[in-house]
Amino acid sequence: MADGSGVQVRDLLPSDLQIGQTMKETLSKEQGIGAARLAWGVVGSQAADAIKGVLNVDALQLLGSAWSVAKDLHEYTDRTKHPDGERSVVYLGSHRFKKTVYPQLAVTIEPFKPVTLRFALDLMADIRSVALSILNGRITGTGGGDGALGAQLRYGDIALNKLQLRKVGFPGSFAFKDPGIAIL
Amino acid sequence: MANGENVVPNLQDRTTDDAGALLNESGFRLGTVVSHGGGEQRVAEQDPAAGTPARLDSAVNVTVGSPSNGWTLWLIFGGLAVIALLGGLAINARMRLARTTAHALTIRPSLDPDGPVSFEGDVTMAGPATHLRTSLEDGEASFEEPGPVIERKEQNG
Repeated sequence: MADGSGVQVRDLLPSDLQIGQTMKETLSKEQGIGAARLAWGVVGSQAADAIKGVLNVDALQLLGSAWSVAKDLHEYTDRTKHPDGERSVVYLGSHRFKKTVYPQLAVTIEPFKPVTLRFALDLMADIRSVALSILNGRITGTGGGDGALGAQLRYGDIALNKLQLRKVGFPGSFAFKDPGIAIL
Repeated sequence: MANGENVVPNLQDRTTDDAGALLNESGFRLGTVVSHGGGEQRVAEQDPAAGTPARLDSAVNVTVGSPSNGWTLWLIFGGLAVIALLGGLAINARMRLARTTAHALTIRPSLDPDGPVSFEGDVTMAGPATHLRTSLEDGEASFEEPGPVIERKEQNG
């Protein structure tokens, strides 16, 4: 059983992610902070590291939460069709989707009040095929597949990096954390 | 060189006494001594110039002063300038350092264990004055039509 896909979401972002200017422009509008003399380059670099830290999550975790809302899988929530204990493996064909998560960065510059910056990360997936294991209305793991993934970080309408897809192969057996991801 | 003449010696940087003695040895005598400034007086200019033939027993006029005064002033001003420059650099460096350390960062990712996805973040500690706290909020998924289609399924149990 593989521990993960080997692709962390953070690794889909460029190593030189630049968010210092965005932070400066946003935080400078706040009363008091605008007058503070900050090493914005350092702040931006640390903030980029912080955001990447919270995105240190296996890409399959986010893909799994996206598959959990796929219409074709909804029937597996019906226990009359798929009773408890029934183990199913479904094979999904080619499909494309975008999964969005929102990294939030609460910045406190003493003595001013905290300011929260809400970023958006779009995980773009172009899946050629994938096998999903389903038990009790939950996706419990994947059973191989491949496709291409890319990530783009945004702040509002501002794209902070260029989206670039890269090919990935999913491990032959990957288990989501118990009890799995509930199908909606 | 004609009889009764000799070459005027170089008196540069000699004290007045030394210059007089050297002139006497060469058959000349010390003439007018014009002095500028105080302290140790040394020959800065001479007339006739060194190396020129002059009649024996003629006078050689000198201007004496403290040649080191100019250098001293240069050294003082130059030294002050260097000190000011180094001091400025040091102050600037201290200010930059203070600015950096004063606004250094503490990063403590705050994660929601009840969310649909478990996230773990790196922790970086760099200072007390500015704090960054990160969290991750789950969002929506949107499929391009027709979305994922089940091509095959297997069931057991």
